[in-house]
Amino acid sequence: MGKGIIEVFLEYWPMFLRGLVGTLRYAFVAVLFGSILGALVALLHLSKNKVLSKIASVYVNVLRGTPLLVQMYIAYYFIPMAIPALNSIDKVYYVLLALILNSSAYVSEIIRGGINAVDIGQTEAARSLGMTATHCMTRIILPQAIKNILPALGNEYIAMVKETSLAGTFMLYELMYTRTLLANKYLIWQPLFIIAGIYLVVTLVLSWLVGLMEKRLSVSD
Amino acid sequence: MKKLMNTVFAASLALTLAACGSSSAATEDTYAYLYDASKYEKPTVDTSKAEGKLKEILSKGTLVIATSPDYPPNEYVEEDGTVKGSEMMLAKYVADSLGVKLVIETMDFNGTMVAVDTNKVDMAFSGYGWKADREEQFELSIGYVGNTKDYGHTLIIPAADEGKYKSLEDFKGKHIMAQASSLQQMYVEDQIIALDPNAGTELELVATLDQAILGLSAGKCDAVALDGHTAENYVTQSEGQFALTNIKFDLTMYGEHEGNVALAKKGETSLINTVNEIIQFAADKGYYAEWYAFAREEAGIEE
Repeated sequence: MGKGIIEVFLEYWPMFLRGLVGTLRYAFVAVLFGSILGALVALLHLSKNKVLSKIASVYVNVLRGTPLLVQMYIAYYFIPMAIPALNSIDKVYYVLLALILNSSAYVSEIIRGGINAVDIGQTEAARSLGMTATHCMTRIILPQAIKNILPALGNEYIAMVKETSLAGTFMLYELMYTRTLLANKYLIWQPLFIIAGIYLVVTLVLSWLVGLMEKRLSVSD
Repeated sequence: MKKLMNTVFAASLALTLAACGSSSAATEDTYAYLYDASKYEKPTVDTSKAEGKLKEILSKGTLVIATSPDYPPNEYVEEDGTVKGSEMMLAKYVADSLGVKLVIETMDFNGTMVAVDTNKVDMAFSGYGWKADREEQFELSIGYVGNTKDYGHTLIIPAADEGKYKSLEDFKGKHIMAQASSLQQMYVEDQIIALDPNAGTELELVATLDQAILGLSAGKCDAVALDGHTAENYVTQSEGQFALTNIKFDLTMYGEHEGNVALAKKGETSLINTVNEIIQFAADKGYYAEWYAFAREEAGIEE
């Protein structure tokens, strides 16, 4: 049935490469800004102020409880409908906005979990030595929490690499989008296998890197 | 460790900026490559009575259109991401005739209609055919025909079933796939399912046509309904796996609605009437047929 997988790959590999670069880039931007935003959300969530904590919790639940594709649609079509002046903004920003917000919800839970996982005795010891709450958090808790957080962030990046495939729905150049490009040439099934293979290789390599990082971070344990 | 973190941070910042710098500002005529504007005469458009959306387009100086670039030669994308196709040339011609810049937003097929409805774009050109329910929801332009040869709309089947189907009647009780909200969906509903609603004919709708083609190769369905031209291309590409049926849907029952139409938001009559004038002019001069032939060649579609 037409051309083989290898034949298609050899003919169009620059296209797949460009798609892969797009995928890694979108995932990177999403996780980077998602981490910054997620850290803020986690701090709100952990704060003693009940209202702030509740707001953060609702934020996380809404973003984790709705599909990313729906969030992208809302960001892309309905934000400009509410504020027509925003229509001139390139679509990549809407899609990235959805990816970042979505990622921030997951990252905030990673950070919150990482901080909570540090034994309460550490806080008690620090405070009884006369450290302020801020001091205790930055000098005692966070350095330990980071060991839990970093590998989990790596995993979030791996998950995000796959999530960005939804950006292809909006014709942004990433791996899944190469499917649309090749369907224009009536190549239907071959790209699916090539794309799956590339995703698999990339996620395996990334998992391996996260594993290395985990090992490195556990040296002092 | 600190040094490493610094490097990572610097690298990440660079990547982020690079990712954000890729958007194109509509300061220049981005789509000048579509056709040689000087070659084509433009109609004199009376915009003194412009209302609503048309007035808005003229004052902001851009015509923003949506398209799903997965339907060559009407609209498709090159490997480098440039959008091409006969309908894009027509959209450019419409923008040029109005004296405004064209901006093309690409998205999936269903998205193009959402985009028109939500005012994200001014119009959509995406290979739409005329449909009664579509006309209820949108302002539709007059039809424009690129094909001098009439390919019609047909069904393709696995090569093993060749000769099994003689008329639309034979598809009763079969499992057929078609693209959601496409013309072919309507044809299957009106001309196969309606023949005998109790025959158990199954119409499975898919988001993009390639899913239907995959379905046919996987034996998930008995036939795929699609336009005759695309059908020929898929059958050629399959190298003997699929076959044409040469059974065509009857289009006479839908009246005078040949070719493709463009969409605008319901109620934007001032816009659609003006666009119709421009499309009519391009059709009368034979421009659209010329663009279509050109786009076919450029897209590498063989006769």
